[in-house]
Amino acid sequence: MPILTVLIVLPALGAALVAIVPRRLARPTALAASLATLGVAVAVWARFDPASAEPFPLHEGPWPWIPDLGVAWALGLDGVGLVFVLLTAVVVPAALAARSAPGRAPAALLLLSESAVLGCFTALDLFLFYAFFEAMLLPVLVVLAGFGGAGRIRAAVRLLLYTLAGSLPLLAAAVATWVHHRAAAGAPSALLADLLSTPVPAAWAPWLFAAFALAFAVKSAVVPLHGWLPDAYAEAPVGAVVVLSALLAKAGIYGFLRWALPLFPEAAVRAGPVLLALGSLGVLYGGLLAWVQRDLRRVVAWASVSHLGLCVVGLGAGTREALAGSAWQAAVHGLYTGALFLLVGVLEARTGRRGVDDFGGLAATAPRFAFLLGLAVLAAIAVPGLAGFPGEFLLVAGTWRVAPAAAVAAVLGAVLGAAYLLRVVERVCFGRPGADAPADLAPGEALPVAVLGLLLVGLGVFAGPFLDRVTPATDRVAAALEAARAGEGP
Amino acid sequence: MSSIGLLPVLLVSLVLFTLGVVGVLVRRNLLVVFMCLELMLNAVNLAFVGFARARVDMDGQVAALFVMAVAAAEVAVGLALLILLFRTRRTTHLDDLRLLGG
Amino acid sequence: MDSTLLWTLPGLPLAGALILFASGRRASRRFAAGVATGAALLALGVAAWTLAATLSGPGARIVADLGPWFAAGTVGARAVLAADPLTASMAVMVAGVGSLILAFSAGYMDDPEDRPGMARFFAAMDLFLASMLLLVLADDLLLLFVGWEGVGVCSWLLIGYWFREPANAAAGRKAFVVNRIGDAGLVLALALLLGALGPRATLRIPDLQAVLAADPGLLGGGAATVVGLLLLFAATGKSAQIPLYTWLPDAMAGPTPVSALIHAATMVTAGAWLLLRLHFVLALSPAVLGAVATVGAATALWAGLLALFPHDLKRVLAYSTISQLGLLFLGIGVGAATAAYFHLLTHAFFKALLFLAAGSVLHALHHEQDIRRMGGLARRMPWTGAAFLVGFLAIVGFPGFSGFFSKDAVLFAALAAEPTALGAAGFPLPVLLWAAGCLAALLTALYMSRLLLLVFLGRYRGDREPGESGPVLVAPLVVLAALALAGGVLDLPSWIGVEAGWLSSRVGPLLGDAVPAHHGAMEAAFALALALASLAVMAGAWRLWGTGGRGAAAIKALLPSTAAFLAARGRVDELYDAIAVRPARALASALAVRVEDAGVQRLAPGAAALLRAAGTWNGRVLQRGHLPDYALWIALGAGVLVLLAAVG
Repeated sequence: MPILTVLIVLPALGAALVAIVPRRLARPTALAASLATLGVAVAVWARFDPASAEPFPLHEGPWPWIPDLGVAWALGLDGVGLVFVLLTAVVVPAALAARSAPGRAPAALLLLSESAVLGCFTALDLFLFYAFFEAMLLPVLVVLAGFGGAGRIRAAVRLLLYTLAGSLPLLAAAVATWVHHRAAAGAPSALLADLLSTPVPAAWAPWLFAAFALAFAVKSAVVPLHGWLPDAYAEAPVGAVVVLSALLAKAGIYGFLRWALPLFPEAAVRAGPVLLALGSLGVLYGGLLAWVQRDLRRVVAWASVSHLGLCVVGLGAGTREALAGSAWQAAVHGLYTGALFLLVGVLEARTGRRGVDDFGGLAATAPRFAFLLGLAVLAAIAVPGLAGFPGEFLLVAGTWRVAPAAAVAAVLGAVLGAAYLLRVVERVCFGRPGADAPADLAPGEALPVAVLGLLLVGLGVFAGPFLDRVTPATDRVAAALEAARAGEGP
Repeated sequence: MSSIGLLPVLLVSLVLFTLGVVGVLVRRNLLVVFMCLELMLNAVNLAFVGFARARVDMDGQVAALFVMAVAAAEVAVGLALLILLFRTRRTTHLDDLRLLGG
Repeated sequence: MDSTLLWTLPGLPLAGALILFASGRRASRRFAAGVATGAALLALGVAAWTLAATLSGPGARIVADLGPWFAAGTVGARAVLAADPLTASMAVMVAGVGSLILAFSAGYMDDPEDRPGMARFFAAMDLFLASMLLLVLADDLLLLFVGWEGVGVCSWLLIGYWFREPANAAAGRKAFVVNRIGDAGLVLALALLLGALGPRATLRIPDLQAVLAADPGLLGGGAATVVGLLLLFAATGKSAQIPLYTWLPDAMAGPTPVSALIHAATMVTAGAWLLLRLHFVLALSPAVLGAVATVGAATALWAGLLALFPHDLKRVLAYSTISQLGLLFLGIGVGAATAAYFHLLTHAFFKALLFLAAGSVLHALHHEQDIRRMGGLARRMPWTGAAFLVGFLAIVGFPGFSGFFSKDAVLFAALAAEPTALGAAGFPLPVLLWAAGCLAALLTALYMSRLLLLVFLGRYRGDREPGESGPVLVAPLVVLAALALAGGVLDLPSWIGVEAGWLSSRVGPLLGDAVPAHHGAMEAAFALALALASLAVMAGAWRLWGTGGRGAAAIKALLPSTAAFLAARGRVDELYDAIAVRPARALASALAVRVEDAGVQRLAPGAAALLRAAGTWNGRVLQRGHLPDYALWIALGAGVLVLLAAVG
């Protein structure tokens, strides 16, 4: 059974079902579909052979799709893809279970987006990847524009503009890469393995890399291309924010690791300092802005900018440790950011407010909420023993050798992170409870966050088995970069 | 039946088509524009039939029949729209119909 | 013994913490305290057994390896604990003092308002013990870092235990954030070590030592100095040394057992512990040793001065802790690691004792912390008073008490330190450092006498009628008093007639110290001279405060501006606020307004305006909704196509 294809098709089928079942069954159906997808993802994990010497231990196809152009339905999974697939499969049910996730249409749209995200993380054909990369945003955009807060149209237009600015150059560069391969190999193909066999000439490579990098940088909100993020995170319904922040923003980091760095290693090495600088800038800029926000969602939004900046630093450093740390950090960031947005969403649903100073003393009145918020925050500031730590340490250790200044920026970002996130915990959970304190999490609300929290603890303690699946993939990328560096050096 | 050459047929077709184009461009009554559109279609039909006859080939006639069928459908929809338009806006003058203007 | 049993040391308190977290608000005080103390006592048993096992033969080392934790590239973290006489004795101290303080807490935390928080309190205390034991026993630096951060998290939770008071929560956050600043240094130090060692990279402490011993050049070119300074920076955060000491006085907002366990006996020694474990890295750079000693001496002196002024009983003890830890750092810096470790242990005993005695007082006075409203408590609380007196005699170094031996060992080492070790790096100051240490020791006598006089002697100035605390509170005091009294036997000096002290012979080699030479009479003379000087200071203190506090006013009149400056804690918090916190916040606000709102957020509207302009032109000119225009465009297009076809 082509399990990866099933994985991609299942949520889309679920979306179709959600659209036709009676209204009161819509949410259970959506949840069931996403849980079934999670089941398939777990089966994928079980089938994944970490000892395999192949670059992609699980792969399907290529089955011709547009044979004249050499475009094929080709899917494959290595360790990096595997963790992102698992992340997706875990986060979407949590997003759908959020009490504030509205009715039928958003649920169906989020499932559609899940399909595309899973496709994006498994596609091995450049055009297939591009199609998924574009498709995953549209349903979320519709949810944002149709069901968001007061500023939803503004936020949606912004998101659309930024995305277009990134994806049109990506398409052009993808076509150029494909054209070059057809000329060099004599037959059209957009398969990753084929494209890798015909390195792009040095004259083109920087431009093509720049186009790829632009699209991926917009997606993962690299400062100064982050303009879409604060409004979108502030206005979208909670479920959509969770999908947007936990999954879609990760596609950028994933795109670098899967496509941009391996296809253009020389250009990537030359662009390393730029990525390091922009990443460090993002770490500090996001951290400082998170510190002065008054809106809980915006605090988490800027924290995301800061933490994604950390991933970009790792990409720029390009060492084995840094790339592994980058992938790990990106995946784990999805877990804790998802948890944080879900928790803020509960407060919003209860009270309609979400200011940092709108609450107080929830540790007394809502202990479950306070416990989970504290756990997510501790994971976010990379306390060892929780999942955030291995990523952060690998990033710092791997970056130090290449660029000590960027490593210093990374740890400064961690200090800032403690400052602004602990401030949130303090304002929201400590102090005297207000008169109209919101009630504690109901079991149904606590469960999704608790699952994410359990994963944050589990991945922190048992980081090894997961990381061991990631490192062969990231090591390959690092080896390519290393070779490029060696070729350039003397 | 005396045979007519291809050229006269094409000439007539050209004249009809030109009449149709000019009509579409200069007339302001939607009904007339519509009729001119039909004129263009029939001009093309005439050319098809003329070619079919000259080449002793049925394809042109088939195409002409096909165009007629489509034109009939198009007229049905078009006229219905026209009537609806007239009922709501009390005019079929094109200068009055610019709701889609920027 | 089965070596994996070692994992029960952090495991038992962790299990206790998990049980308590799970039981939530239903847990009664009796249940919570029972579980927490029981776990700690079991851990103490295992620790004692482990210590006995490590002492069974020379070089006996118990290693419990659970395999790799995570690995990528040159980073390889292992879940491995190791016990040798050094780590096992420290574990015994942590578990022992921890058990006593938990038992004390069972009686101390009896406010009915705290009832729902009982599980949280004891769970956090147990979690703290687990983290601390992990920190102590970890054989891998990344695993040590887990404990290192874990104790910080627990400290945050416990300082802010009474979280309804915003000031308490803020103090907890301050402690955590300042600690994180230090932790940044540790992360960078580990990154630098890994980078410098290249293919031989390891963070396992014995392997690291072996690699560096085989090829010290790996950390050449100043790398050893940078690593050492980063480690020192990390240690100053955890152990509250200059420049990162400011969190500790505020941390006194936590319940007193927390102050005793975390902020006196154990967690704050973690910084010194890190330097002790990595003594072989520090030894590579004389400059680093000099910096450690200088930081220690300066902190000891400065905190000793600051301890003279607060009116809050616990704050005086907090500054005293900072000052004593400064002596530890001085000892490490002058190469007397064993003496420093000795002082670490005795300090844990007598400072925990002093804090618990203070806790007993606060409990009796319903949390009145102002020493101006105390006095004469020795008569009303004889057991507590006696316990405090023992702690007092130990900390001022009264002959025969534990502090006498340990403080003397550190200060004599500073005096006898090879001047070359420090001088080589341009620190021609060993005598100055030694003098600062001695002055700090005398200041100890001064501020502790002030406490003793104002709290326990004289006449009672409060308005409540305090009585002696119950046996649950007093029993731990008695045990700790015995330890504070007799702790000196851990490492008796040679001039007393023993061949070599226990620590010096069993732990010293692990810390890279040779068994100290016999200085005999000279050391004895120094020790007695220091004790006599302390006695003189105490006599002076009697004149200052023994008569109701008029003497203090005299000092203030003599040096008004200095006294005001010190009473305002040297305005260091204000200084940090002015040079770091406020500029950073101002920068953040400026970025938010000037760069983000006025710059980045205008990009999209700018692009949108351009598009809109293009769209407007398109709408006005090209697509004005006039059907004949469209027809014209179509016709023109068709014409162009025909022309193209004709030409082509």
